Amino acid sequence: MKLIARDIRKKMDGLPVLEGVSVELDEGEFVTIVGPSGCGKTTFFNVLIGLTSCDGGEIVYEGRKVENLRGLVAYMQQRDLLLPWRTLLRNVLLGPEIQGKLDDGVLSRARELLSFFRLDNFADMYPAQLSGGMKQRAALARTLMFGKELLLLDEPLSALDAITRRKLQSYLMALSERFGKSVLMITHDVEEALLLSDRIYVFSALPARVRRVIEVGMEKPRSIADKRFLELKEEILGELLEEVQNGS
Amino acid sequence: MDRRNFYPALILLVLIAVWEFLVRVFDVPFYILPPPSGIFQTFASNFSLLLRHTLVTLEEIVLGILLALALAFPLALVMFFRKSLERAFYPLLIASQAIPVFALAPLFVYWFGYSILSKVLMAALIVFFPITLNLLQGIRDADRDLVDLLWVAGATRWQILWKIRFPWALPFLFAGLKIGVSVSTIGAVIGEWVGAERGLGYLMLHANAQLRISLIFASILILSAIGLALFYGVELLERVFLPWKRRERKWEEKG
Repeated sequence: MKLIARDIRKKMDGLPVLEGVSVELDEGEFVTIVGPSGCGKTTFFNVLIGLTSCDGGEIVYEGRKVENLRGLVAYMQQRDLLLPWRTLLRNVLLGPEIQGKLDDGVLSRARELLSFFRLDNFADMYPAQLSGGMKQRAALARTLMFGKELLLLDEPLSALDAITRRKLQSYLMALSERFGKSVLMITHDVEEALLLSDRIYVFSALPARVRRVIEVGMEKPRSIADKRFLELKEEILGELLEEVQNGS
Repeated sequence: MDRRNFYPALILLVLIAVWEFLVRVFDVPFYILPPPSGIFQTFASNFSLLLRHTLVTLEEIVLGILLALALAFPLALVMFFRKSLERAFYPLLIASQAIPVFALAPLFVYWFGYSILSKVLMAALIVFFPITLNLLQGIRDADRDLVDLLWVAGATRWQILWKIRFPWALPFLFAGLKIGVSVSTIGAVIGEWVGAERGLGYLMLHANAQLRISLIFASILILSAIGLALFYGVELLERVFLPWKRRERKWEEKG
């Protein structure tokens, strides 16, 4: 197993937010977490990467128990978080730069990545000059350039419009299919989860527990018109609706 | 000329014309209020004298600004990294602004003599405050998510400072610097008034004693020019060092 988070517990201001959440991720897998909004998904991520402490549970990375995943993962948020004072190319080079690994090989790899994300003509532009979709693609390229095998993506496409989003989903697919990364992603878009994931964790409303684990098991690329796809979508949406109603 | 500058320039020209006109019509004596044309004449005939003293004052101001910068960086960093030191220094820093800098001038001259040092210190004292506070605020203000991004990637706090906080603080620093340099002339001139053997402040005192009012006006003109030049100089530096700011603005205008 690449990553095992076992029985993670967390209270904030005395209120339980995570009530024994367990998630597993195998080498090269694409795993998503869906759940009602405000259910503690981001808190779960923050515990994993060490931005918040937890009150119980354990994190095992490549068979080794670790306190958190700081320095072991590349992490990406809904906001592109490109540095406004850097050109796209220099943004993409941020990871190697802080790791002290900047050399010609890295530079040519960064340029290759930019062209894979269709940004080669914009390498010397500043983020403010680009559209939301381009910025998010650049953020993906940067995330890859951190050179980590495990990626944690927190609603990476949520800030985008529906069409841009659909277009970018194929890039997300490439993270595991082409680049061989293991991906753990939070999303609130059930269709997106079904298109991309090997496994889906459905979280309950606050306090978060894993309500259901779904092994999707369909061939990729998938079609949103597929019968099993539609069935699963209805099922998950039904469960989320139930959680929202219970929660409020 | 750019449209933005057209109206201010026009108003200025009109004011100068009115001044010239009134002085001539009411026949105001030259030693009370010289007409603008008289001031320009003085300016031209005393050019090398004015230039010599200008260079002295300019040197004091520039050194003062550099000194203020050199002090602002370590102090802002120390206050940022050590909360206890911030709690100790910050109130003092604010309180230091309640001291009228002009009142310190005689002391500085007493301690450091007629040398350039007392004027440099006066200029530095005025510039230091806005720079330090703005720099500290900029370093502190850096986007939490950007800082977290680097932290999660395993960056050291110096890397976070250098790659995120410091670039983030640059626009703040330049804002403080613009405020600072435009008033920096005050410090140097006061210092020269209290005790100096050269410089525009010294020249003004000298001219005053000799009732050469037009020379005082010429000095004031130069001091204003220095203040303006420093302001625009900083703005130019800002354009060079913060090219992304210009792009941002351009794109926002386009919508």
